[in-house]
Amino acid sequence: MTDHPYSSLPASAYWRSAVAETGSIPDMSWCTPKWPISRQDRIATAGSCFAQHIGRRLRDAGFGVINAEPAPPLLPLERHMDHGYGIYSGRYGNVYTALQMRQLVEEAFGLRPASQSVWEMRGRYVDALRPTIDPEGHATPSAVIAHRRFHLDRVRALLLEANVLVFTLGLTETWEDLETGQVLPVCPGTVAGEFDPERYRFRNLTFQEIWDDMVALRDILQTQRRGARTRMLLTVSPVPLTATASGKHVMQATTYSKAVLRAVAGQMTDSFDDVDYFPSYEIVSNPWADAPRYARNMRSVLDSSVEAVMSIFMDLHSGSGAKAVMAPAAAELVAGMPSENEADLAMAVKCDEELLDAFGPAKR
Amino acid sequence: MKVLVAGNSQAGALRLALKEGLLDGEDVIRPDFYVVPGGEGPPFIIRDGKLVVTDFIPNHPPYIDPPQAGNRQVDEYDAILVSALGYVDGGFLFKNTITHQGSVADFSPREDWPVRRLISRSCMADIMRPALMLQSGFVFLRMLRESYKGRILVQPFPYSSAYMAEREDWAVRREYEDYLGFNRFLFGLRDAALRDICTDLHVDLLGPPDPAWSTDAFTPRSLMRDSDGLHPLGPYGAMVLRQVTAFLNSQVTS
Repeated sequence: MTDHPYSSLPASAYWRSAVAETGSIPDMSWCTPKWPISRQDRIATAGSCFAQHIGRRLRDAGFGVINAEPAPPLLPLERHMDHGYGIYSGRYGNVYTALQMRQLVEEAFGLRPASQSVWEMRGRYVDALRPTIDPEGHATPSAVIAHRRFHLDRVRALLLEANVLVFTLGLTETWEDLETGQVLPVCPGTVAGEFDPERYRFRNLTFQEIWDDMVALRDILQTQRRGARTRMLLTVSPVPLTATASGKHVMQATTYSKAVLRAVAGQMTDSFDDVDYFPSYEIVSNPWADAPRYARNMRSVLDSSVEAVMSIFMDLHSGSGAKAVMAPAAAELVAGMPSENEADLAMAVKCDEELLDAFGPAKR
Repeated sequence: MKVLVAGNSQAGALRLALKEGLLDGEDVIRPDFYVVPGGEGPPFIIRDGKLVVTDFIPNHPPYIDPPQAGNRQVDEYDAILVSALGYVDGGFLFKNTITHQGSVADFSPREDWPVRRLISRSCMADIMRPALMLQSGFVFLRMLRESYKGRILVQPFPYSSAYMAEREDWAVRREYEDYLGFNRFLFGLRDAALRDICTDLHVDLLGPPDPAWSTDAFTPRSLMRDSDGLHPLGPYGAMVLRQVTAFLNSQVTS
């Protein structure tokens, strides 16, 4: 037998030893970080729904997650999320696409005009770029604009202070306002505003477009921080699309979306020393796992899955985290399928996308 | 009917009404008083069935009238009036933690106001009740309800003096272009929270002595001290005592 490139590969390179024989937690030696995140780092979190879990767990574990827009001290803790506090490092809500993030960062640094986009909602007004952040909206459009101005000040301070940005890529699909050139977090008419087919167009962002946005985002941060690097830790949300406007089957659209996002994250990681990727997507969406990862709706990620992801994350980045254990989640098993269990509900993750369900067609 | 007024300095107006003879010849209650200063309400607890001041302020000993009221069991009273709860605006002299939670954008914070945090109306609404429940007067009210079986009445902290609106140093006016709108909003939230709390605790809430005042949430200047715009004068106290008397009489007859 001759030597060949495969003969000296580690166990992690082989499906059988790295996946098939490892049970619910694959061998994680392959996700050794490029650089550690320490408790001295100043971390900003942003992205789609799944990033909420990451930010919260990091904060709970004592990492320096910045809260640039803290809640009023007398607002009860259980009401924080309802008003957009403590979900991410700023009150920007879910940032589903790289383009949305780039847009926010450009706005915060004055590289594009501050948004004036205001939607009407039941006689009150909301920020079109974060329409669910204030649940009852404001009395006037000018109040919305004032809130946005304050918000952008805080986001600018956040981005100047953070030396690590944890960003979860969530979607490729988005809606663009042709009048302003802005992309929106939700389709107009779903939670607020009105849908005008002449004004809004659907976009399914390509690899090249997302790549360009991510590179631009990295460049802006470096420039604005006067050369000080903001390390970027990328993840891809394992949460499937609630609905697609692409005309494709939602499963096909989900696979396409995740594949493109994963490819961009991989390319960014391979191209830049200060960009790394954490494989929460792979850990959760691994179809060969012997424990359930998703709730009965096959979309919500179970608390136990988040625990597993973050346990691995802590092991990798602090060395002091709990051992990576995927609980069998017996309580979550109902007729062979996990339920949308109480633990999941208690996590109370806010997800604008879920609102699409409420405004979509009735179940047949 | 034996009534105790357990309160803060707002209760002083009730005592003044009696002292100034404003109720002479009228068939209104003559309550005992047990009061200690503090805008957030009396910091009392009940120990061995008696009122005790928890946060004794050296320069402001409790005012007890008649003196033997300090040794009476609360159960000796037919009713207790807690006076006054629901302090939400410090006016031009004092700071209040509730208005300092953030600026409400709907009321147009001024450009030169150092905004620390912009909040929505609904956020302020969510703050109001829990913030009030942290105040010493509400802590006492809850304890009183648990240990006292008689009727408890709550007098709301008076709306600020209408004079406030003329004062350029009124903090609310310095903060907002629409300071009158904010004042209505703030006291509207306060009144709603007071109603909810009192309902939940099974205590009776009095309205302002004249319901018409709730429209703009100010008390006529003639009934309040100009020195701070927050403390009522004797005539206001007389109105409250008449209110209390009418209320208690209605409960007896109904």
